[in-house]
Amino acid sequence: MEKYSRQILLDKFGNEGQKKLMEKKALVIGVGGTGGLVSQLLVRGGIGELFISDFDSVSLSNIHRQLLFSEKDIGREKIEAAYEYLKNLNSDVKIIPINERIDNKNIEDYVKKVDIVMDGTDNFLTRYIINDACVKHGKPWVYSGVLATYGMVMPIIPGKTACLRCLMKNPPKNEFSTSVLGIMNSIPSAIASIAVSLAYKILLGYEVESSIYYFDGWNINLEKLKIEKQNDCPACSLKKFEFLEK
Amino acid sequence: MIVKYFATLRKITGVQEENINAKTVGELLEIIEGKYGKEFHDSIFSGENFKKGVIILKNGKNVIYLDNLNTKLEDNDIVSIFPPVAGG
Repeated sequence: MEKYSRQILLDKFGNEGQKKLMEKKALVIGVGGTGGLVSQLLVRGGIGELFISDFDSVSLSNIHRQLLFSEKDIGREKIEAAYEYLKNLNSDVKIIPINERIDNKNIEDYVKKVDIVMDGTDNFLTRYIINDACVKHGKPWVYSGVLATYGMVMPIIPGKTACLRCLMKNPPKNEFSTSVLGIMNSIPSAIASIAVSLAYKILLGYEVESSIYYFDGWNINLEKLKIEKQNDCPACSLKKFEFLEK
Repeated sequence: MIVKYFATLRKITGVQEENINAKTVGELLEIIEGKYGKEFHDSIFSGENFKKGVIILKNGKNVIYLDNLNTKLEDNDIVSIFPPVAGG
């Protein structure tokens, strides 16, 4: 346990908390800017098992913010490079790379195996699929989004907090992306750190509020907005999982 | 009431929040459009309807679940307006 001694010193963790964390399993969907650091922090922190998924390959424009990759990885599959990086960080952690795209057909199989799902995706359709699968199976997940000089994080605990569809009933038609509006490389790291703090709270059994956190990384400002659970939310109230395979 | 702007909207408004009083969400958006013009309108609306994914919260509740543009507002409400943040 010497490896985790500085974490165990925290009264929020202690020996019991660390042991608890080491029994937990997480799935990170997308290991780019946000998901890459989420994965790294969870592995260094001593999560029991980490499933990682990505179907993209490393490109030159990824390098300025995607901390799992270096110039020598350009052109490689992200999942392969990420696995290679992460497995050398902490031999306590079992890392399971998923060599297929997570979609509405296979997501439930993976969600059922883990205690939490972490969002590292760059599109809302996948997030609605994650939301439906997690709400259906009662698994917590953490939404993370970044753009330009800001980002958002929302912890979602089915049955307790608002879900993604309480916040936003339908997916956006046109999305602003980092390839259009750009991204400051400190933003994914800041958002990933907030997301992992929330993941630790959830996994160790602490309360989290039904809120969305908005981080302005240029003016350095973190705001918390309370989000109400909707009684007529299609997903968490009416249990209509429209984004999963029928 | 306090109106809070987030993400790309802050570029248009130049402020993070301000005090504006209105009786409904529709009236509030008309006042805001009057101040910030077409760029604000185009960020929120597609024709007559809200753009899919645009979030307008009245005290933490998305107005889509309330009465949309007709949602009634009181002086002590907090309205938060933001576009979705997709990148990862």
